[in-house]
Amino acid sequence: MTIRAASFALLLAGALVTLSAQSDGFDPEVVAMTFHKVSGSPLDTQAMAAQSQAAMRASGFDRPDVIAAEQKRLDAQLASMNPAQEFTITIDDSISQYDHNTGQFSVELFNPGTFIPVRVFNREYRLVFANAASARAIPMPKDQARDFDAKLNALGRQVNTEVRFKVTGKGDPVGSVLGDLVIRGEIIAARVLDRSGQVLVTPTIVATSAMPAFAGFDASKADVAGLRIGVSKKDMEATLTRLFGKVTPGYMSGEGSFKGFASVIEVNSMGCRSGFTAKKKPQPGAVCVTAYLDSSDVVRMVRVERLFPPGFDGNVFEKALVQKYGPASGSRRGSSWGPGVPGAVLNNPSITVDALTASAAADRDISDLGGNRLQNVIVSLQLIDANWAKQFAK
Amino acid sequence: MAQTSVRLKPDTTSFRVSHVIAASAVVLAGCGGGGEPGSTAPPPSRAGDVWEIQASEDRAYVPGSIVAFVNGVHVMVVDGDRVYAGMTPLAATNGSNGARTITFSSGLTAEMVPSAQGAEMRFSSGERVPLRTRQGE
Repeated sequence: MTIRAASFALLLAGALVTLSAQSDGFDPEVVAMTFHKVSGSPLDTQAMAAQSQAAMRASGFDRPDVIAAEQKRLDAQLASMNPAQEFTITIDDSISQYDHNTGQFSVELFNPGTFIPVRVFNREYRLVFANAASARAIPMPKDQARDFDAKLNALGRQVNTEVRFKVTGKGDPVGSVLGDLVIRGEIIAARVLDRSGQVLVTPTIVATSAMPAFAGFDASKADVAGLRIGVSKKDMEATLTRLFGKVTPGYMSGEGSFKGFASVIEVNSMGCRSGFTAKKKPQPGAVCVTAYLDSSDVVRMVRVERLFPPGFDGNVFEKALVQKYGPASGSRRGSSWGPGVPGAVLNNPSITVDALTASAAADRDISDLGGNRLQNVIVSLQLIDANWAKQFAK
Repeated sequence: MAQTSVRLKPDTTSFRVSHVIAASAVVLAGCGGGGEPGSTAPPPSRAGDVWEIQASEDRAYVPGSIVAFVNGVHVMVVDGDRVYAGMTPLAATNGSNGARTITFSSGLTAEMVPSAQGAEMRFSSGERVPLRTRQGE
């Protein structure tokens, strides 16, 4: 399993370092379950139970009962996870060459984009540390650095880095490591050891709460495909007309029937989805825009969709989004960025939606039923004026 | 329980961008109005040309069209040294051989390089996609 993981990553990344973690307070199952408990990310215990060894061994007659029992056990285990639990892992690591400009060495493990794969439940989780930046540098005056460097050379620059951490949430706060199963941890303490276990250096750790906030997503300055909220109807109409063609009044129904929206304008609003009744299948490149306005004719929500051909690459999409908006704060429906907006804005008081949501879905129509034809993909970006929406929090 | 781990080499592009975003926010805070980069303004109603990415079935260009869409340059107005990605004005600088470089607030750049069919947009993140001007405006 381990070798497969390394090989797969090698194919993807082109350059890898193989590290090993020793058994010292690091149970992958417990780490993964704690992640699901802390982050609220759903864990499909029924599927896990169905794939369990107990289920595999059971006869066909007994299997449903065995799966139910196993699922019950997993659910209980998940519920019992302690969010404050601390874990310790030791990683085969290396120390960089001395940087004469900054006067420091750096610990490779704490570089951005670095993660620890945790293979469990037949899938890979990726462990990153939110405060890794604080532990990265080993500052040292040059005269001391010479001796330290010689010591490192004698070790082949290979060290063991011991990290004590707890699980704090989901996702890489600097956006370098992507995926749905990125475990965000916080380093509590770390030590760099030589192979005999002697401490070489103890990095300084700064709590995440004391670190500078990431200045990525700002809803008030954000745009979706260049379109903004908080602008006048006149400006939105002028923009849509120039770029996409005729703008027409829209019909508010379903989600759009919220009383805070007074009117809607749109371009080609039904032209991006085949549906099951469409007479003409939309073609890749089709763009659809819907803008919702308040009673003062100010745009408070805009949704822009584009149809892409088969071959749509979700990783490219995710990377482009993170590059533009910073790390996503949610992933309930695709990716999303805060701040949260009362669901009342979408006439759904029971939920909170994020100000910006991005999703991609296959454009299915009736001719796809039972077939294996590759489908076009509808990409949707939606931005809500979060400041305006605050008034509906009650 | 022993376990072997691997780690990916740092994605330096993503990391660099996170810092560029912060720096850009400071710079742009002082800008505003009149189609200046960082402001909000509709594109001119007639001036300039509308450029759009070519809706190609060629899968090689799908990643480029994704990046173009996310950044609002899948359909844009190019008017001299100003590019309107939707209602987001962006600065464009002229380079060699008629190429123009567009800079986004995230730090991403896109080079519009003339080609026989119109132009090709080459993003600093590596993706590329063909462009053409819209006819009959």
